[in-house]
Amino acid sequence: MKRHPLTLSATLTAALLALAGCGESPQTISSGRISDAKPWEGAGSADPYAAAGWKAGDAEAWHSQIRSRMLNQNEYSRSAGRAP
Amino acid sequence: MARMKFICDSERCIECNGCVTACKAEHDVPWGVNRRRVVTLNDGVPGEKSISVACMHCSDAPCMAVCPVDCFYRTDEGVVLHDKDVCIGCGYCSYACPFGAPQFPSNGTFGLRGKMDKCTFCAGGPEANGSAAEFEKYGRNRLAEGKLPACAEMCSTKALLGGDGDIVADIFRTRVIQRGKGSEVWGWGTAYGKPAGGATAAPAKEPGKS
Repeated sequence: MKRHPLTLSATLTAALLALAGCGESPQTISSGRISDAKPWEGAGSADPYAAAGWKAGDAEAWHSQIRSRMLNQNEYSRSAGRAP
Repeated sequence: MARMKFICDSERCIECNGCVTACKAEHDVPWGVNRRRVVTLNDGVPGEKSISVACMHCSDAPCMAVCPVDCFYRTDEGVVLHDKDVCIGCGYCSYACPFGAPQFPSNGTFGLRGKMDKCTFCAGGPEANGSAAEFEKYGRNRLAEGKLPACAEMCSTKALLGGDGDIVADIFRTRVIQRGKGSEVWGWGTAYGKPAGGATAAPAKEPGKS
């Protein structure tokens, strides 16, 4: 049986259109990491609550400041009396 | 690189709720939302233990895994934060979190269930550090002020420790070794099991040795 080329192409087009209905466009609101400022950049020059001892923008100073605060939670290193 | 964590020493926590109050006051947290709370085990029974619980800033956070709109992100310091502009308030994170950290205000944009709110390790959110927009949505950004979270810094008995996981674990381990107990709720004994023969998990201090 011989098919007409026009009928064949029309059939293929119809099939493609039908399959296109199965597709779905991306609905993702956020893809990838959300950007955020680094904490060592500081909270603004006008911030009256910034801890003394480090300068905003200096990553090394910030790390040093935070590390000293972490270690300061260990009262064994702060007092002679060693309460358990 | 720091991995910011909390740990609560159950031997020291006196259930004063000072950490809860400090958090609410510092961040102006609305009524009905508790970013931090104190849980007491065997309440009223002699030997009861209390621990302060909030977001634990998991290294492999389940809330991040289940969020359908991908509103969570992790900072270089290991703090798990989220973007309230992206959050749709679906509550999946609440079901996924083993600590009950995600909170939902009852009078938000979406009616009965508003956008999720949780502990930020006092690190704010994606808005500019220290900005009014950041404070309104997430509260104070103490990390950007060179400080640790308010709850840990004001804890009167230093039961609640916050900071790099290695450092706070070292502090806790030192205490356990000094007093010879206290790792039963969590710590070595819980994670790796107790030694055979009924011995305590932490080595007891020998008398006469300092």
